[in-house]
Order: sequence, then C-alpha cells, then structure tokens
Amino acid sequence: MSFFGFDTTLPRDRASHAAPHPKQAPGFSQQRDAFAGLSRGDSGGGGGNNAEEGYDFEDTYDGLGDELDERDDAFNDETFGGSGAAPDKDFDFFGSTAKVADAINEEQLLYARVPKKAAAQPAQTQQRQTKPAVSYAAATKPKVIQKHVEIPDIPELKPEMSLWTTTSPEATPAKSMSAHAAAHFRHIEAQEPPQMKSLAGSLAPSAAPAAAATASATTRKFKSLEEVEAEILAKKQAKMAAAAQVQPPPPQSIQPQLNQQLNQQDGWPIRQMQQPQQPFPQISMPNQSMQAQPIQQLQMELPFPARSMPPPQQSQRPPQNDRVPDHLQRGSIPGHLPFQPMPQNQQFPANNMQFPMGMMPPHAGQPPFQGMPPMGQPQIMQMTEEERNKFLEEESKRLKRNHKIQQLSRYNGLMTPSDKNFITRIQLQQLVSVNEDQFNEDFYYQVYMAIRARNNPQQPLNQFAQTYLGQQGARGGRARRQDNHLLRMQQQVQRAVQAAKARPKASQLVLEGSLGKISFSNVKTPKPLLSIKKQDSTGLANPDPKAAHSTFAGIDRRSILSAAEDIYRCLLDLDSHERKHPGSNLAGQQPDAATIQWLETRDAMIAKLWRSMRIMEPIKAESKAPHPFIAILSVKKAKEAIPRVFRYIDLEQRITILTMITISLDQVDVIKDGRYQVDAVALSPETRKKIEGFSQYVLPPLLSYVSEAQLSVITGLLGILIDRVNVLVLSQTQIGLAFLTMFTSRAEIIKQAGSADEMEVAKWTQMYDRLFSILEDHLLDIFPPHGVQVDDMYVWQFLASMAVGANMQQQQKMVGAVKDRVNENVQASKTLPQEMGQQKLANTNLFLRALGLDIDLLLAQQ
Amino acid sequence: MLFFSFFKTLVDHEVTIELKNDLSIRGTLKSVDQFLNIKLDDIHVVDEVKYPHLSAVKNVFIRGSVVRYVHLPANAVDTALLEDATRREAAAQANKAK
Amino acid sequence: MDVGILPEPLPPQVFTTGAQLLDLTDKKLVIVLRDGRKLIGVLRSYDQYANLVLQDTVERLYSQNLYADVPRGVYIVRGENVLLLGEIDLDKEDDTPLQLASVDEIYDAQKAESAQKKQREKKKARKLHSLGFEAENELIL
Repeated sequence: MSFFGFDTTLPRDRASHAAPHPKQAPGFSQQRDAFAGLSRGDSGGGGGNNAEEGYDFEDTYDGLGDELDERDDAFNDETFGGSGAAPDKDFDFFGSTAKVADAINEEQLLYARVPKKAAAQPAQTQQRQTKPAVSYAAATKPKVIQKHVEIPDIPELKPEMSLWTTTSPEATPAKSMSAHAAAHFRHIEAQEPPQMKSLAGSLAPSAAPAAAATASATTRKFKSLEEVEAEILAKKQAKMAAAAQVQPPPPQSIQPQLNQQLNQQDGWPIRQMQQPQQPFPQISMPNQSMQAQPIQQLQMELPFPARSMPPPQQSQRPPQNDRVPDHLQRGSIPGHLPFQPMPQNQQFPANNMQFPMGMMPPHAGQPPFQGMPPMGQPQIMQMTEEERNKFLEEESKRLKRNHKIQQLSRYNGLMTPSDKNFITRIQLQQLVSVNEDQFNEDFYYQVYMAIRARNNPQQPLNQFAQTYLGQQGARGGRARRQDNHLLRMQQQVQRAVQAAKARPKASQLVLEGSLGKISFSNVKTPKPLLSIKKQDSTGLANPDPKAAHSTFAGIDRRSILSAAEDIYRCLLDLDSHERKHPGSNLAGQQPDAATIQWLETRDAMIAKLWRSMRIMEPIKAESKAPHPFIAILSVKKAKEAIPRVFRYIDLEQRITILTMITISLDQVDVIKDGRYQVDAVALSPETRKKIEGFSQYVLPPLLSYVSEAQLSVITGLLGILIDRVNVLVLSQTQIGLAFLTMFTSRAEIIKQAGSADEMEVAKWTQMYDRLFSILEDHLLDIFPPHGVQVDDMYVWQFLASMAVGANMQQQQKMVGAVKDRVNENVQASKTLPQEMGQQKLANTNLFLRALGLDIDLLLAQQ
Repeated sequence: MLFFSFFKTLVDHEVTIELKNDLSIRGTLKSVDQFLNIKLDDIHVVDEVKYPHLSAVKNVFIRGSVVRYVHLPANAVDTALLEDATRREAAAQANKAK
Repeated sequence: MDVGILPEPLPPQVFTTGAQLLDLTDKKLVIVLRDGRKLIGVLRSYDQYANLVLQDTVERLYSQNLYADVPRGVYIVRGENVLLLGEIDLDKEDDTPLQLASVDEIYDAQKAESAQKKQREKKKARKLHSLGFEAENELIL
C-alpha cells in the first residue's frame, strides 16, 4: 500500500491494516531512500542512522513516549530499515541539512515562544502536546482521533478540519510557511475559538498546524541558509522567497473564523458527502510537510542523475519550492475574496509547462490564486442582503474549490519537471532512432507545414512544397480550379486578339456594320441578312458512349493503375534525389565529382521515368485499343502526374508527349466522353471530373510548351489533328476546343509578331482554311446545348481565336453563325446574377473584340 | 509513422473520435503522439446522457489503441500530398523488407 | 534545387506522450479503463507508455442516474488498460444530476447492465461476422 512511502490506506481501513503492515514493510526498505523526505516525515524517526537526526528525534520523542504506541515505532523501523543504507547515497547537501530541519524548527519554536509564555517549561509541554500530532500523525494517535472525527454527527466540523490540515501539512517543519497561517494560528491560540473546543478529540491535529505554523514562521532563516549552502537558488528567487515570507497581516487573523462560519452555512456539508476520502489529509499530513525535500532527494535517486539534472533543473526547482507556500498563502487567506471566477488554468499550482525540454520559464507554474481582490470584513457588512447572499454563495463556491485544490495539490510536484523532461527525452530519442530518414517519415507533416507557410513571403518554398502548391491552391473549390486553367487559356487568346487589333484591318468597318444590322435592328426577330444553313446536329456520327467505354479497355484497369504508380515511384525517387543535390556550384566552375555523379544518377532516373510513361511504345494502327500512354492518362492520378513529369523531362520529350496526345486525341477519354448527348443538359459528373482533371493538370504544361513553340510545329500539330482525328467531334468537346484554341491562338500570336517567315505563314493559313472549312457549317454545334446556363467560356475563346485568324469572308460566316448566341448571351446576362452576367458578357465580348467590335456597342443599341 | 505525421497537421482542428466502445467525443485536437494517443480539448460527448462520467470533463487523453474512427475536417486534408506520403511510406517499407 | 529550411511550427516534443500527460499531472482526472471501470483520482506520475500513478483514487460506479464511490487509494495503471483520461472541471463536477447511492445497490444494477451489454455485443459481433466483418477481438466496455 505504501508504494511511495506514504500510507495510502483509508483511515478507516488503517486500523485493520496496521497490524499486517509491518510484515510487508521490509520489502519496502529500498524505496525509502528515494523518498527519504517523505518517509522520514511519515515515520518520524525513520532515518535514525543519522547522528544529528538521532539527537533531533530524541528531543521530540521523549515528549511523545506516552502518546506513541510502541507498535508503531517498531513498524517504522521495520518499514524503513532502521539504520539500513542511506548515508552514502544521501550525499545531497540540502537533503542532509533538511533532515535537521525539525531540530532547527524545534529550537526556533522554543525560542519564539519564550517571550510569549515567559517560561520555557510551559512551551515545552505545549510542544509535547502539539508536535506529535504533526510529525507522527500518520503512525500514531491521530488514527484514533481520525476515527472519531469521521463520525458523521459533526460533519460541519470537517471543513474546518480540512482547512487545518491543508494548511498545516505544507507549513510544518518543511521549509517555508505562510505568514498568514502563522498569524492565523496565533490568533486562534489566543482566542480559543469555540469551534476548537467543540472539536473534542481532534484537539491534537488542530493544534498541530499551530505549532507548525509558529515553527516554520521562524524557520525562514533556515531556508535561506539552505539556499546558501546548496548554492542552488538564484539570488532573485531567494529574494522572492524571502519577500513572500515577510508579509504578516495580523489584522486578518480574525477572518479565518468568519470564513469558517460561512463555510458551515452552505456548501460544505454537501461537499462533505461527496468526498469520502476527505479525512485522508490528516493522516498524510507529515508526508506533506516534507513536500519540498522529496523533490530534491528524488532527483538524487534518479537512475541517470548526471544526465537528467543539468543546471536548468536547478532553476526549475526553486519555483517549486516557492510555489507551495505561495499557493498556500493565497489560498488560505480568507481576506482575499473572489469577485470573478478563477481562470481555469490557474486552478492548480502544478506546473503547466507545455514544453518540457528546458523551454519552461522558471515560473511557468502560475500561482493559483491571483487576481482576487482583497476584501475585508467591513465590506461584507456594508452589503445588502441580496448582495451578501450572492457574495456568500460565491465565497463558498470559491472556498470549496480552493479546498479541493488544496487537497489535490498536497503532493504536487511529486513528479518533478526533470522527471517529465526525462520521459519526453526518452520518447524523442525513440522517435529519432526509429526514423532513419526523418524527412521521409514525416513527409506529410513537413511538406504540409511548408505549404501552409507559403502565405509568408519570407519563407522560401522548397521544391516539395512547390510540387503540391498548385493542387493546394485548388482547394478552394472546383469552380476556381477551372477558372485558373481557363484564365491561362484566355490570356493566350487575348494576346492573339490584342495583336490582331493592333494590326489595322480593312474588313473591320464592314463587319461592324453587318453585325450591327443583324443584331441591333431587331433583337427579337433579327433580319437574316446572311443565309445560314442550319446543320442538324443529329446528322453527325454519334457514337454510343457506353460502347466507347467498352472499347477503351485496351489495358485492364489494374495494369493501368499499377503503371501510373510506376510513374509516381520514379517521380518520388527523383524528388528525393533532388534533395540530395551536393550543393550549388558557382557558375563557370567545373562541377565536382559528386555533382557529376549526382547528375548522372538524375539522368538515369529521368530515363526510367520516361520509360515508365510508356510513351515510346509504337502505335498499333490496327488495334482498337488506345496507346498505352493514352490508356494510362485516363486515370486521374496519371493526369495529376503530368505537370510533375514535365518538370523533369527535356524539350524533346515534351514535344513527344504533346504529339502523342494530339495524335490520339479522339482516343483520350475526355474527348470520347466529352460530347453532349442530344438531350443532355450537362455531362455526367464523372466526365466533368475527368475534363476538370485534364484541364487542370494536363493542359497547363502542354499550353506552356505550345506558347513557346514555333509556327511550323503548330502547323504540324494542327495538320495531325485534321488528318488523323475527327475535328468535328473534337470541336464539340471542351478539351478538343481547348486544343484547337491553343494552336490557333499561338499561331496568330506568332503571325502578328512577324517572327515567322512567309512560307510558314502560308502553310499555316492553308491549314487554318482547312480547319475553317470543316467547322464553318457546324459552328453552332460547338456550343454546349444549353449554353446559356452552362459556362461556355471555352467556346468563346475558341471563336475569338478563330476570328482573329479569319479573313473577312470567314469572319462574316462566323458572325452569321453565332449571332443568335451573342444576343442570347446578352439577354441572359441581364437575368443572371450580376457577377455571372458580367462573366457572360465578358466571354462574348472576347469574340466580338476579335472581330473589332465591342459588346458595349451592342448594349448601347438595345 | 504516416498517420502520426498526418495527425500532426490536424492540430487545432475539430475532430470527432469514435472509440471502440462506441463512445464518440468531439473536441479540438491538441496533440498526438507516436502511438496515436490523442489529446482533445474542449470536448463534448456526442451522446452525453449515456456517459455521465464525462459530464464535468474538459479535456481528454485518449489511448490510441482504443480508437475506432477519427472524423476529420475534409478541408484540412491535402489528398495529393497524402497520396505521395503514402507512396513514400510504402516504398520505405518495401525497402525495409528487402 | 533549393530545398530551403522547412518550417516547423511546433517542436517535436509537443507530439509525445509525455507532453500530452504533462499538464494532466497533479490534476483530478477520471480514468476510464478498458473493462469499463471509472477511476477518479489525482495523476501523480506517468511514463512514456502512459502507465499512470493515481493517488486518492476512488472507483465510481454508475447506474442510470445513480452513482457510488468506492475508495481505492493509490493506483498504478498499466497504460494498455486505459481507455481515456479526462480532466475534471472542479467547478462542474458537483453539478451533476446523478444521485449518490450505496455501493451494493449500484453494484447489482451494474452487473445486470454489463451482462446485458455483453449479450448485446455478442449478438452484434455475430451479426457482423455473418456479414464478413471480423469482430474486434476483445470487448471494450
């Protein structure tokens, strides 16, 4: 039962346990050293091996003799091994001096009493009566008293008892003691309050703190002496301790009584019932009296003293010593009354340190009872009845809590900060040894935090963070993700439009007129100035999407997924390899051997990555199955890998990817499934997600390549599309249009810039005309069927990029084809919410401006 | 260590921990350790009437081994990153096995 | 190429068992064990496995709106038996709708309840098993 040397049996169990206990005791003799302070307090004479101590206890024991049972003494000796072992281990300076604490206390107590009582002899007798209760409460008489006290007939006395006990324990010989408590005691002693008398048998325990109080009130010197001896406490802290001890407010001594009375009025009896273990305190009193000492001795007994007790500890210790009296002082001064609830984290004087590794400020443990405005008795008197009731209620609540806290805090600090540090350190070591590759093990956290810190511009983003940044930024929602891509595309188209506008065109005026006439004259029923053959969209070959799905299974899904994982494996290896870069070389310097090797490894890894993409596998014309690369690209994760692959591969490889995708564009899932069904309002969510993924991950790297490509390349790519792919089908899908837009707008930019020779331009124009002739009769089909409701930005982008490159005739055809759509959009923009309406207009305007018009003209007309 | 690493990023987020005895506790994740023990602050028990012993409890330390589910805030999870972290973990384990 | 210094907003020691238990030491806690027992006591010490030392422990028995306390003393709890630790709000703990009852009274009621629950869990496990779910190999109350 007494694992830590304090007796944990409940009082009522104790009597019955008292006899068997000694038998168990010998096994515990080893423990005793570790908690010498505790056990000494417990047993009173446990450490009799010490000469000083012998002297000390003889002094007190003599007086006790009649009160103490022999039985208990024997038990103590057996329990703690009498003259067993300690001195060699117990080299602690303070530890050994502390053992004399009692003696010094006694002496000072005596000294202090002489003037009061005028004679030493009465003091001595008083001593005999009181002291035993303190030092030997657990082992002796108090047990009997305890039982007595427990009688439920006088529950109202218990709060008082507990007040006493919570006050006394820490105040006893230990070290420091609140001056208030001392004053308190003096007052009680002088006045002999009625409650005391009614406490029939409990006289001894209640007087105990009194003695203790006086004792330790005079013990202050001892404490500072100890400090000096040990040379442990910082001077500042010593001062603080001293300051804390020198504030005796004698006038307050009357208040304890008042408060005790208050307690009895409400709250306490109830509390009593809920705290069956309450009598406890008195038993363990002596343990507590040693509270501060065990802490230090404990440290000495730690298995790794040298390591776990670096200097920081010494600075940590003092607050612990001080804390107890601090809290005691404030907690037990009834004059300090609350008007506000205590902050919760201050409830306990325990150290609330967050970071054990020496990050704790010396005074991290806040004193628990700060911020209570002092309030004297007169103030209570001035209150109205209601106020008083409320006040009393709060007061009782506070006292109740303080009482609880005091009870709980009796053994506070049993586990010292250094113990906690020690455990934390063990764990950190475990973590380190488990993690050979710290970064890899903690990859998610490290990179996540790096990305999260990206708002901080000072924080340089590492390569990993950048890898995921794009995806991270897309978290805001699908819509925004789409916008990102579309905006990039739009930029290119806009540049093309801008360039076209810079070049004066004769046709523009005419066009302006024609469009104006068409749409401005009568919005509801426009005059058909241009005869437009309406193409029936059902006339087109409309492959059954389900059939398309089944034919897509060129490679089974499992192998596709594992192929995609292969790509990722290579990518992650490369990412990791980047981290191992031997260090940047100064420009012009010969790369050292390490760098060369690193580069070679890198090249090999990139080659592996390239192979994992399976892009070089031959295209089997006869096979219905798509090319492996295109098949792999059908899964989302493969699409997501493309931007990351692009970072590593060279220009040629980029062209290869672009070409491969272009050649097989009608095989790509986003094209195959990307067409609107005849009556469909929207695409299936699954397809939409795929399109989104393709737009977000695959298009941007392609676009960034295309926006630097030569005109010949663009012409070639468009040629491939026209020759090998059904452009009509392409034009009815978002991604298909995106490709066409990409090529036409880039070509136009090159043309405007005049950087291509005439041959190239002529070739391009030829190609453009072919494209136009395929599409010219199907321009309305490129719109999603319910374009007013859906975002049709990509269509307007395409039309704009086409219009820029078109000759006058072509432009007229375009205008004729889509004029209804223009007007529909203008109308729709008026009914749509402001922002969406503006967006619609802006989209439409993109096309109009490519023709040299502006939507404002249109709006002005209406 | 993947989950350890992962849960570390959820500190200060609201999560719901469902234990193997069906008790569900919602609270702010304050800390997690290598055993996936979890510390929650400002807790409330989902079915409070059933668990009166937690009515006056303000924060809890939950043993990792008794957790059945952790309900996460979706927007605090970077899926792409988590996928890669998983790949790395798998690769590391494959290496260890060799 | 530049890896840069990774930001580390929280030091690693925050993510240790020790740090989690640190501010629970010397506090009044309720400890729920895997067998469903509830202990109320003051945490005095712990180690890296979350083994615990409790002081002034009482075992609190619950049954519907009744409760009873059995004083137990000092406990050393092996970490694996712990379900959770909860810090008790000292202000709230007394505002409970529960009523104090005698230990025997509750003990009987609890026995019945626990038997019932075991029955229920068994049934549930069987059902889950039939659906292909492997039951958790141990009953946690």
